[in-house]
Amino acid sequence: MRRLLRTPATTCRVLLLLITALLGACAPVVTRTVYRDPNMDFGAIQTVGVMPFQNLSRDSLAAERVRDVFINGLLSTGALYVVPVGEVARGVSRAEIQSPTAPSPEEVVKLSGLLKAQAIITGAVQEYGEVRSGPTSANLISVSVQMLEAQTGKVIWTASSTRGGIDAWDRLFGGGGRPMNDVTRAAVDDLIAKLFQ
Amino acid sequence: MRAPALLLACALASLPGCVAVTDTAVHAAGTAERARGATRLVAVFPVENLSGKPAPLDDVRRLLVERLTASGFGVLADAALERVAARHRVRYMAGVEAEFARALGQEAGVEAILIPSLEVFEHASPPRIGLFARLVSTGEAPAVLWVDGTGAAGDDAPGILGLGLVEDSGALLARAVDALAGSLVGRLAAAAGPPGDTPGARKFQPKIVYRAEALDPARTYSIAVVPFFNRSARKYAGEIVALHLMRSLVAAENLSVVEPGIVRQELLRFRIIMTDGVSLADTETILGAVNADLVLNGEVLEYQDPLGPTGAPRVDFSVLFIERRTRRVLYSSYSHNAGDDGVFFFDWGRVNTAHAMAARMARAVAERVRLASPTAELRRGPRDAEPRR
Repeated sequence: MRRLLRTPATTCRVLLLLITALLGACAPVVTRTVYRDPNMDFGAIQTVGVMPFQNLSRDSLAAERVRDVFINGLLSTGALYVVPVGEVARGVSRAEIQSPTAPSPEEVVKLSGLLKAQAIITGAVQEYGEVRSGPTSANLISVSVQMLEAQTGKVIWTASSTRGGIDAWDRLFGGGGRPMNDVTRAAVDDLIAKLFQ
Repeated sequence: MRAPALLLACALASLPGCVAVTDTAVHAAGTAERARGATRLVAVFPVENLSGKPAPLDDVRRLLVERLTASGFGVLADAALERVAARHRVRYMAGVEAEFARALGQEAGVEAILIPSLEVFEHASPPRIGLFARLVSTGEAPAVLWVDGTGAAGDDAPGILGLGLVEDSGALLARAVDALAGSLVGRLAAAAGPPGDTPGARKFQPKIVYRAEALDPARTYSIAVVPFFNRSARKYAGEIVALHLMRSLVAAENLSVVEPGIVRQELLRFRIIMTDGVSLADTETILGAVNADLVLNGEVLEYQDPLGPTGAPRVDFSVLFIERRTRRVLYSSYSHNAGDDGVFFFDWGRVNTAHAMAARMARAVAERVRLASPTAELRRGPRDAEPRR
């Protein structure tokens, strides 16, 4: 070992490797989970209804905020038409869905018929808000969505995204992370990219 | 530098701080004289308090009446207004219903109704004020003739050594009322394009936009604004954002807005309760009743004025336009900004009131809706796209 480190070039390489490994250990863990039904023709889906998201975070308005950004983001792609939220609420009421955040396959079939949608999207916000690690804080969002087919009510696509959090830069130099709105948009963009990939 | 020269330089430098900083387009001074040519009788309604706190509403109304009278308008006496209101059993005065507008025209000879709304009034230093007013015609089909607003803070233009700071909330209120009265007089006298029709800054553009191809910029649309959902901590934020959007939409030549009092009347008549936004059935009912083409709905997620002298305002809302004919969403966008967005040096470009920022954000939304100018077309973001059909 001593013989190996004798040359300056080798020493530099070892140091560089160690620094890279350390920095990698400080990086936030980003989970990338995507499921796509291989038998589903996603091109046939033109209209979707987005159900209210389940809120598992501490912020009482997180689900509404993320759903709002998600609907606008989905509409802005131009590839899908999203039924207005008021119409979805009316459909939920007419279909007598007990838990709009987690509808059963039968309820999805009934609701899709009322909304004239080819798919229903449900979602859950797991994390939304500030996270702390020692003296450092940053905004974090973790959201997952799933698409349910109108005819059978089965899951045809799921994806989750985590954005924000404390990275190596924040740990070393502080900074407080990005604003919550930016982090939310980044997560929604990531989800939509996963849908269309 | 000699002392007189230094004093003159200081005085010149502090002059911009003394200018009333509002987002209102105050028209040329000569318009007031032109307005005096024909005396119009205007009914000034009591000021709607959207500040969520006790505010000097009577003072605001008194100042408005004084300015209008000075500009040559006739103002209906309070007793006469109360008599007509009592005769028709009208208690809601934050808008005007069709029957009441007709009654005011026929029984009191009123030509137009001025409806003021106070958004914010802060005494504490720096004082802050936000004020709206709209003019609605009387007669068979009441129409919104003019809407404008003004928002200012005492530290909008501090100038050198803080010489431009305004500490007196009364002085700020007087400036705000002057700006509004000037805008109204200018609009009526000049009979020209509506005020506030200047392009908004890029940073206030909506962050996510969907605009359907079917939304024709050349076509004339009438819009019914239904109450926005308020999910923010600020009381009446839904009404405030709706007023901002209304003001920006009225400024467009090919867009007209139905008086919110008439929309409210129809919502009550059909007993429409919106739990989570406007449904397509509600859209058809409302638009059929008021004979409009588009319904504007949305939600406000944040509407916050600075909590202290160092804080920044935050506004966050989304809007949705649904067309009556196609029963489809024609426009949808999501906007959010903070007062210190894009501010890096010496507070250059900082916005001190939620009113001023929301006004620019609403203007940017209206530009996108109508795409009136090629510059608006150019400003389309990367997220803009047309639906695939």
